[in-house]
Amino acid sequence: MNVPLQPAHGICRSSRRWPRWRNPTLNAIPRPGTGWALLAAAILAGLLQRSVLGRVHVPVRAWQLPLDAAESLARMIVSYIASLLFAISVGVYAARNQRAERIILPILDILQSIPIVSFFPAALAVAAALFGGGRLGMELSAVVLIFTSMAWNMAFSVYESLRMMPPQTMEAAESFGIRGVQRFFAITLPVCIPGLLYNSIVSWAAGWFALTACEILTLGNQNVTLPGLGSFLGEAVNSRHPILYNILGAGTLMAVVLMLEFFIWRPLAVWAERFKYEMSVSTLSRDHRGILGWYQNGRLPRLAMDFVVHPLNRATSAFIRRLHGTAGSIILPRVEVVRPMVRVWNASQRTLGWLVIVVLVIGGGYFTWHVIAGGVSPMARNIPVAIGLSYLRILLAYLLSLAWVIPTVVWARNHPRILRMLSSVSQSLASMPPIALLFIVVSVFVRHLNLGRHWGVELACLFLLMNGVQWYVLYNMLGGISKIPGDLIEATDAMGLSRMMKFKKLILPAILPSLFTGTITAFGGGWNTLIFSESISYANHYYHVLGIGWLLDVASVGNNPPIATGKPLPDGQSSSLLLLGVASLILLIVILNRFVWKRLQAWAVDRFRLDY
Amino acid sequence: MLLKLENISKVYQSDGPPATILANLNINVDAGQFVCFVGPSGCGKSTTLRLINGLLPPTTGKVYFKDKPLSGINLQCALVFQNFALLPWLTVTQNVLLALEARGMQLPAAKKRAAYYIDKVGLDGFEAAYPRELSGGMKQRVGIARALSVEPELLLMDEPFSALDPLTSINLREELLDIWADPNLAVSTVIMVTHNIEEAVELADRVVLIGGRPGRIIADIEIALARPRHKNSEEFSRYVDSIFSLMAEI
Repeated sequence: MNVPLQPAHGICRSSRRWPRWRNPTLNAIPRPGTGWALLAAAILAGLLQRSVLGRVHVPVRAWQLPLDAAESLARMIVSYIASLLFAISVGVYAARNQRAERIILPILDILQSIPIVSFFPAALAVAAALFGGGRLGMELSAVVLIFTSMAWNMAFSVYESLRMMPPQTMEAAESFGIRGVQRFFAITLPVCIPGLLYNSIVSWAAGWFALTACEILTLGNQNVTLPGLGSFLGEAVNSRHPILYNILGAGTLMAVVLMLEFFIWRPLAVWAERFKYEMSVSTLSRDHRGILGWYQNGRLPRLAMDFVVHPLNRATSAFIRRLHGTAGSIILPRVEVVRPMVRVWNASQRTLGWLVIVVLVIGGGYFTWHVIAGGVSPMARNIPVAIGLSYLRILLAYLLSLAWVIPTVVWARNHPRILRMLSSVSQSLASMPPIALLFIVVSVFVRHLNLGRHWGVELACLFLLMNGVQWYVLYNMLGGISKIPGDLIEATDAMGLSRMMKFKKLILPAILPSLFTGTITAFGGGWNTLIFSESISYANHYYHVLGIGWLLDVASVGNNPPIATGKPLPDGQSSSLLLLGVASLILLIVILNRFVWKRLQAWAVDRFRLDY
Repeated sequence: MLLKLENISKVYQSDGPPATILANLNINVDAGQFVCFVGPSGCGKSTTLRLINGLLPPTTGKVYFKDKPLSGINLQCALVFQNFALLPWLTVTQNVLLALEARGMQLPAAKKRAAYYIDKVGLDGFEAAYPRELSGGMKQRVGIARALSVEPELLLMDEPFSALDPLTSINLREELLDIWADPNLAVSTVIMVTHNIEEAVELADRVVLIGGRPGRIIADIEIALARPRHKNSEEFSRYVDSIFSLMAEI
């Protein structure tokens, strides 16, 4: 008999009740806040070590791993907080302001689907110019790089959540005079939470994934290595014991990711259930156990409410009333009533918008001219072929991923525990920087299989690409499969449909929207991985295949992982190659997304929606 | 006179050609009346309700509340929504409190008030429940408690019973009449939008029939029936039939 799934929930949720096999661990935790305390202690240790020892470059040493992990974690947290603030402010702004929406949305859309790693040289140059080349400047630059791989999808999700909100909610709020900070905390923020949570998990994975590239910074001819897990992994490959250090580093990263999953994301996912906008009657058990209880009943959240949120609410509503001269009055003016202010605000916005566009166009034009004038490398002629080959590789990795993910997910549909486990696995493996897998890849595919050097590297590249693609596919498919309503499955069972028919008539159509949504993210992950997988530097050997990832790696020579192409390009030529490569890559991705995937996605969502 | 709509028209200007929803609407409502707006769907009933609340500005004409022209959201009105419009992440009490806090009420007083009205609509014992744990009828009770708790002089209801099953809506209608008749409760004037003619005849002192495109007033009928009203009585059916035939002519 099929156990009907609980009604539509994203996959980032965990069960409502803690599964039995995890109970002992949870019960053993003395206080719910322990997870936070542990995290805080780890971070403090990292910061302390940094300030006491103040080292910048050290040889790889295993005993320092926990501290390295703490430092990386601290960097990730700072970047995440910045991303969160960015996402909320930009997302809310775009959802509220139509003019802003038209500018912000396409930018976010492009930024979240292109390989952000290829922007690192440019972003780094800007950040270093802003913050200086000192230790603090370098730290800030690393934070900026991590930020660029975290922020965009989160901002997009805030915007989408606000646009998907039932219009009656805002109307009700307005009719009861709910405004300002009160509206932000009672409506705007809660509406965004489920989407924000799901995207936070994706963003953290993206951040870990790019960590190596963020912690080994290349400025000109100089390599600056910030101590951390990413740089540990980056240097492990060319150290004396590559396999040992690689395994140690990857294991530590895995431990950190899983710890975050269990102490932060899972409880948050249970908690976020309540912010889902579905009014259908369901039996949500209010689980006060474990860490979740801390969020709900803990002293700190309550203090925050009593001393920050509530007073702010009261102060702003009083302020709004005074502003309109309506303290104690019965009519709350529409916001538009303050016409002159609105006009000034709109005008200044318009001017600012144009200013930004003009600066971008002129700056971009000057930059392009400057770079091209530096000389175009003959390698640039390879760009079209390279992009084509790379695209074929990603496509193959994507199809291979689908080939195992769909049967797995369909099979796991009836086993909630396995579904949950798969989502943890996909999340933690998606966090693995490709460099952490090099030891397997190189030793198996290149050294031990007798395929000849070219096909060995090709296979290694495919393997790494699979790792960058398949987890996104899995993650999205898990979300899709858990949204199939139980009654539809029961109905098809009752009709006596065969397995194949059921798959064709119910399951496949129901997961198609998630499939196409996942495709865009999966290809984004693929392009990102490309730069690390088409050129591999391992144990002082350099392997590569022709592709855009390799070209970009060559163009940012000296960029990590440190590679020995043997023939570094002249400085000007490398930046023009980088610019041309990145530009053609973005062009291809934008065109494909706009004209293929977005259309397929819109069609699938429209045709196979599950509400009617 | 509590409420006066004077020469109201409403034109929606979206991307396409402008759509005139209402044209030259004139309605007066006295304090203490129970008025139902009836009409086919899309005739502008709900738009009229939103103009009265001040959620939408009229394109031409003026809304007067207690002889003063309305230029914003009227906080002496409270609106009950067809689909409840509750916040799923707030408990019953928190949903009601939100409206009170928006009016700058201090928390202890607001809590007392919320508890009183939650009890009034028969939801005591469910204060800590979340909307998704409640049945449709109970959700609408929360919506009504939220509206009553701000002690409005004018209660506006936008098809409050049409998302509910028949039995639940019968019960809630009776309770609504009790609340309306209760001298201890502030609400004395109700304007309700419905497309159910029997419901209108059962509840209202006065049925305003709106119809046509753009919407205008077709008929304004006094329901001179003693309360409690019996659906099976001959007079009741006569009212229902006459409104039906008027609506059929639109």
